Amino acid sequence: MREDLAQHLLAEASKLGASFAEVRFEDTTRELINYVNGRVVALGYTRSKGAGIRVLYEGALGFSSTGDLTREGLLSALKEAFRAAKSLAPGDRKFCPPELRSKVFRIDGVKNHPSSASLEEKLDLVKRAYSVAKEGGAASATARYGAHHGTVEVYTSDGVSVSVDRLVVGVSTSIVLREAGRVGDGFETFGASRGLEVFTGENSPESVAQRALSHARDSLRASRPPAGNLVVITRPDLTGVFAHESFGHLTEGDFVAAGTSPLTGRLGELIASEVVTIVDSGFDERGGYLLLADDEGVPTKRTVLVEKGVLKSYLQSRESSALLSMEPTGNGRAQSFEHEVIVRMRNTFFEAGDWGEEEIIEDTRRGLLLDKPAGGQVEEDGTFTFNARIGYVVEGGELKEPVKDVVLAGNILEMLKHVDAATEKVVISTSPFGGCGKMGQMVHVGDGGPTLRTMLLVGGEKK
Amino acid sequence: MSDLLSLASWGVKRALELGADEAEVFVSVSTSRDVSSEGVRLKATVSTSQAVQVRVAKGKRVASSLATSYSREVVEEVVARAVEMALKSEEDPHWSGLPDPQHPRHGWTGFDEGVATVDVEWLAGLAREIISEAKSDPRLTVSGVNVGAAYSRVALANSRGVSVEEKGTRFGLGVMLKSGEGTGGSWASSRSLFRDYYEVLDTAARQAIDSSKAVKLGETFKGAVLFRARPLAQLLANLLVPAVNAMNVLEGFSPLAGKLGEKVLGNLTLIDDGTMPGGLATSFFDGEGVARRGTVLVEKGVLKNYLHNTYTARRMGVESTGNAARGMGAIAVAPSNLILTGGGWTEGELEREAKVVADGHLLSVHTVNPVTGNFSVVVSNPYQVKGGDAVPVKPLAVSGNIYEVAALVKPARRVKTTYTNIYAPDTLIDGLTISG
Repeated sequence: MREDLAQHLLAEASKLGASFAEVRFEDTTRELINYVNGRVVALGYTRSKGAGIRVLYEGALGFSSTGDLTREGLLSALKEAFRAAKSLAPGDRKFCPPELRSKVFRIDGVKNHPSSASLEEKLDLVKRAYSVAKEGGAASATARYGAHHGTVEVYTSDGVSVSVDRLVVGVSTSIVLREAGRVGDGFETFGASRGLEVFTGENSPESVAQRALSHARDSLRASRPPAGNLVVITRPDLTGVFAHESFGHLTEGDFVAAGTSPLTGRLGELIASEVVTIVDSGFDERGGYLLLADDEGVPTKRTVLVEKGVLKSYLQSRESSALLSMEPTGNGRAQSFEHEVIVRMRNTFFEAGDWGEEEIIEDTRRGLLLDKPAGGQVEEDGTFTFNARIGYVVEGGELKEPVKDVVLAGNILEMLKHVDAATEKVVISTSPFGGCGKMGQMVHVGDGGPTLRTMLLVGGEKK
Repeated sequence: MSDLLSLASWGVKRALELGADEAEVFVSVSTSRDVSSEGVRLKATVSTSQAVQVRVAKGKRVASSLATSYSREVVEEVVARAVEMALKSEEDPHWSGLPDPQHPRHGWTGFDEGVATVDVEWLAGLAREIISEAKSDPRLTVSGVNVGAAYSRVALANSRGVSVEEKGTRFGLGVMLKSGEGTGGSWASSRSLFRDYYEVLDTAARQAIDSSKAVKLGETFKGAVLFRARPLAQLLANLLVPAVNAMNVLEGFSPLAGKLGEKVLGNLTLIDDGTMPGGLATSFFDGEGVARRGTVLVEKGVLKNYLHNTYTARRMGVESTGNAARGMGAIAVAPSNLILTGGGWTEGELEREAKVVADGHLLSVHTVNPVTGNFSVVVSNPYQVKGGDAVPVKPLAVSGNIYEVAALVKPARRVKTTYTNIYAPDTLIDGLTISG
């Protein structure tokens, strides 16, 4: 804990004339093993240690960061932040009062923490995944291990003193199959905010590789999908991208405060079908990324964004909530100490319905069942795209031939009205390899949900 | 010798003392000053990023580690960690050592004193001016503005005698606008300071106002799409750049493996040139100290070369093309300035041939499949060409396979900067499926 250093700095900020100051220390480690075609091609370890400083002066906000954690180094960064704030003064920025003043948030119950596990053990994970890929006939295969862990400490001039653990580990496998001039690829990843003991059973590297292999085999015989407006059934991994990309970003308080989100001023309105309930939470027992408090030291909450079709809340940082006269929700996050806090999601997912996946398929005359996202994106006006690596044509209530590389497009506020079925089973996933990008910052998130049915524009091939 | 280079050299010496057979230490410091807005509400950030990155080899076992500050204690820790990991890692049978020293092949420095020294107050003034100018048109609202200046210094030393350092600057500004439900955005960037933002503002305004009037295409058909240079650059970066990356070729992730000398891309010519004066990606050396140079990748459709770092080059028995990039855990391969050369048509001629003009940017472009060449992207600001007029339409999906339609690609004459590392003309691609 760097409380003494922080208090000295906060006192200096006050002497300069700052009405609010915050220092956020980070000491985290990122690990990566990249095992390609039976060889270690990347073995990396990154230590991020430094501080980010925010200063409010006459309603204007300045931020500065430094890797120099000496008293002089921090003081110099404080002066930079103060000067930056002063260059914009006066302004109308402010911060919501903190709900919690002082606490240490630890992730408990971790048996084999990546910081103490041996390199041999981590190498074993990727080698096991690779073996399954190789035995399955992979022409090329990559197995990866990744982890991110450490602590973030936040101190502010209005009394916040919080230390929070960060932890996520994961393995992934990507496979390319080649057969008779055709190419099929498959990708699978599993991540969790747990120790290495999590990689067993269906979460073992072997199971992860097996799933990637199965997708690659389907991909080998898959064709491009038909194009046009179609009924689309999304499996949980893809539903999650839907929740996160297509909807979640529009509820971010900074976009709402700026008036650029199409959800601005619409709390309480029916914006989706009654099947739709969407949640953003720092924790969920069904999986995902565990974030007990955000990068402003605010404890995370389970925030219900949409309940049975009705818009219930937005995601807030201390700053966006003050601008909107609402409560912070624990969504103020930064990629690292070098980045300023902005409003970000945590685990964003659709809640369960009461269908079984088989029932949804049987009930569908013509459409596509899609799985495995390859990312997505949303525009300010709610126009979104998201992509599925693999899927199947559904005809007469049955799964038919596989399709691949499917792009889906639409406008969220139109599309949510067409959701008419969701399964009871909900899956929430996360990964240490990537996350959500916004304003040049990447943070770890989780997403998921049930298998859902809706209607979307499919960018495929004109048959 | 600068402070950075002497620290890098010391790190190399220390790694050898700790038992490494070969060692490389890269040290960087960059300062960026940014003023950005959410809506019209500004904020200012001044960030100093430091990094020390170490790569060591013990026999054929290689590891790397990185830290975000560069005191001597940190270098010691990072070097020790890398050596420890290398000792415990596995052999890479293809490893054949770090690069040897080289002289730079050009003399142009991408450094501007103005960018390095500009203060945050000036950036704030420019951001305010852009907002004020945008607001003077009552049809427009400002979603965001960004003005930023960055200055970086890097130094690299290795145990084979590489000892290089350089500095660079980059300045940029961008604006995102709305007009009703329509959106538009544009940006510009340069190695030196500029303050003329009018073209950026006009482009964003035109896109926003046009897309506010956009109608749904409402059909699916096959046809020719004229990609403006910026969306085309996005497609090239995600679809073709991975395919000419020698690492992907070696590991079986490129459809261009084994096709040197074959006609693979219609009549296109693609060049990587890290020495181009004024280029946003121009430097003396790549990420492992190899001199930047010009490399013809594809000439009139025929595959001539891949992009290499020292590792991939030695594995394939050729010379590095000076395209090493520093990634996490390993040295990767990345293009420098990538140039798609111009063809024989004017933009007007190509517009008349097009069914759709793809303007703005591509959404979900990172999801294209470089292994197969399949792509399905959504165009943010498209126009339908009807009876000679370009009518704005809602975002639409464009799909195809770049290798299947390569013979139907027609680049315009004028090669434009896209304010990324890619320089390309507006380009017509026929045979694509368009739906919206």
